This record gives sequence, structure tokens and C-alpha cells, in this order.
Amino acid sequence: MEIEPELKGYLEGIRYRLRLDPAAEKEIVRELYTHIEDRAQELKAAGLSQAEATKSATERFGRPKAIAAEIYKVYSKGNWKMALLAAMPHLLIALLFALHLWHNSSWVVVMLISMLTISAYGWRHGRPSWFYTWLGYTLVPVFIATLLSLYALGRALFYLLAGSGPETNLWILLAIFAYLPLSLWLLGSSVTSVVRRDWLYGSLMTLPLPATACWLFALYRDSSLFESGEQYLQDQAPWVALSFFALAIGAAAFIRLRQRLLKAGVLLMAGFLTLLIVACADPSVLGSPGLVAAGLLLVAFIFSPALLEHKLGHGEGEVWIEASLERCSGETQAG
Amino acid sequence: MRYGRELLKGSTDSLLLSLITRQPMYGYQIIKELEKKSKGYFTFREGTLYPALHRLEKKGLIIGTWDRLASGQERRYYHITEKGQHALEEKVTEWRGFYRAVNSIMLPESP
Repeated sequence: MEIEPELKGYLEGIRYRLRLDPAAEKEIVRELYTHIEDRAQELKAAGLSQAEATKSATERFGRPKAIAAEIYKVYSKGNWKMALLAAMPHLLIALLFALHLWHNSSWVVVMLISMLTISAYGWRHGRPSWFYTWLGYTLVPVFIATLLSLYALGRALFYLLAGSGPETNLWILLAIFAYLPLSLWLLGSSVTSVVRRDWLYGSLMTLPLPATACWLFALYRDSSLFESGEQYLQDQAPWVALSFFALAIGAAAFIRLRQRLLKAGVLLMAGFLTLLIVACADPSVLGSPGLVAAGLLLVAFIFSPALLEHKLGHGEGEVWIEASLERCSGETQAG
Repeated sequence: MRYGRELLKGSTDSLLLSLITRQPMYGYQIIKELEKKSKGYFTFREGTLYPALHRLEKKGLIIGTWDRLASGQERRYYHITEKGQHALEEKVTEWRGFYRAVNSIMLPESP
């Protein structure tokens, strides 16, 4: 079967903007293709050439951008159950701190295992919109370990260059050198894979990372991370809980909204709210200039998946079209 | 014609359910039937049919399945569900009331 390049481009223009699960995208484009083919066959029977008939059929069908946007709106709004599922991992972390369970390692391990299990379930079942928040939390431990490794590496380098300070354990340094590329690859490939589906999901997934980084920074400023960190976290636990509760509200609103712009806006608002909560909890960490700088970084962070998507493209491109449309083409009869 | 288009916008769901309740249909067939039955009065912008069909499907009023034509090609046929039948009955009752009320004002019987 040979599909005209113009028609391929037209169909790919629709699919590119659908931003749905790849299987759902293929089904929708396949259906639209059968319609255009039926119309083109009718026009051919009326005397038009193949190229003229296809051109006229696609023109009558409408602009790819408008059609894709209308179909996106049908599927972009999740129900309340999906909203609750998306908010759940943020709520669990909020509860962990609100109930002071965070220093009980059993609770932390149970939570990590459930997040991994639910993420794996979501991955295998069509990657529904609620699954991205769970996936985000499976990356949080990797992210924290990466930040701590970079911190340890920086400190070791500083002491080395200064020629004084405590001696660094060589084995720890080797472990850091082995871990860093692995963790960066894991974080990068996870984000890339999600962004290929829709950059907004990339932002939703990575939403806990700025809040986590802020709290780690606050911990570092107040207690040099390890020395009296437990007491600091104990004091700040209600604020930490509140910041993750704000993320839960943001995630639920994201799922319930239909428009892309509003979805991006609600992620930004939730991010800003967490920054404000950190600033209220510990003004020594985020003063006014710090808050402005962190806000700008947050905007860059939320929208960076959009730039990445622009660079990577969305999905597989036109290569899937012929294979996917084989079953519905051939000697088409109109009407 | 603009008035007709506005009316069509508000009645799309009812028209689609009314057609599909008679027999399962696929998108192109729906467009043709709509044109034929309304004698060309209702003309859909073809691409806008599918968001409407998918919206009805998401609400559970219709269900789409890939079926094979006699020629061996596959088309996505839409079937009405029980929920869709109930929704259509409600819409028809609503329409009858509206139609009577509009007629009583726009086309009053001569005294």
C-alpha cells in the first residue's frame, strides 16, 4: 500500500498534536484515514485525479491543528478518581511528615515499594495520566542521591584544592564516580521517554523535585545536612507536609483541567506555593531575592520539558503510518 | 445558513444519537446520511464529526468497534448503548417541548 506523502504529512500533523497514549493515537488516526480515503474515492469516481481527490478530501476534513485540539479536549480531562490517584503520592508524602512517620524506616520502605509497584503497573497499563506523579516519586530517591553525590564530590574537590580539611575516603569517591553517570542516565532517559508523549506530563512528573531540592537546601543551610538534620526536619515537618499537600492539590487540578495552558498554569502555581511555604517556614533559606531567583528557576524548570519536546519531537513520526493503516485501505467504496 | 449552523451546533449529539440508534454506522456513513436525510441542510465540517463521536463514546452513550465491510476493509462502527438510548429519549422529549413552544410563538394559528 502506498500512501501519498501529503496525506502522510496531514495525518502525522494530527497525530503529533493529539498527545495521547500512542495506541490511542494510532486508533484515532486510522479512523480519520478511513474517512479521508472514502471521500477521496468518491471524488475520484467523480473524475478527479488521485492527488486532486486527496487534496480536496483533506481540505474538506479541516485543519489538523483544530481537529487534534478538539479531540485532545475530549480526552484531556480526567475524572475525580484519576485526580485522586494522581494526588495520592503527594498526599502520602504529606502524611509521612504530618504524622512524623518519616524517621521510621519501615514506613519509608513500604512507601517506596508501593510507589515502584504502582509505577510499574501504570507503565504496563497504557501509562494513564495519573501514573506520572507516581513515576516522579520513584525518581526522587535517585534525585536526592544525585544531589548528595554532587555535594560530596564538590566538598572533596574543595578540600583537595585547598590542601586542607578531612581526608576523603577513596572508595566513596569511586562509588560516586560510578553512580553519577548511572543516575544521570536514569533521570535523563525517564524524562525523555515521558516528554516524547507530552511535555506537560514531564513537568507533572518532575514537580516534586524543586520542592525536594528546596527542603534539602534548607536542611543543608540549617544543619549542614547530617549533623542535626533530624531535629530540623522534626521542627519543620508540618511545613514540609503542607508543601507536599500543595503539590497534591496541583496534581488533582491538573488532571481535572481540559486546557493545556491552564494545566501548565496550575503546575506553576503549585510550584510557587511550595516555594512560599519554604520561605514562610524558614526565612533564612529563602529571603525576597532568593524567592525571586527560585521562582525564575522554577519557571525554567516547569517549561524545560517543552523545549526538550520541541527538540525530540513527539512519538515515532511518520514511520508507523503505512504499517498501521494497512487493514483499512485497498479498494475503498464510498458511502 | 448561519442560523442552521448554530442550530446544528446545539443539536449535534441528538442528531448523531438519532442516526446511530437506527443502525450502527461509521463516520463517513454518518456524514452522508445526515446530508441525505436533511436534503443537504445539515453539512458537517467533516473533521469536527470525530471529536463529537469520541465525546459521546467517552460519556458511554455510544461504543465504537472495528468491523469488516464486505470488501474486506475495516471501518469503526458506532453502536448506541443502553445509556445512549435513555439519553436520546430524554433529548427527543425535550425537543418536542421546545418545538411546540417555539411554534406557538413564531407560527401562531390565525384567529
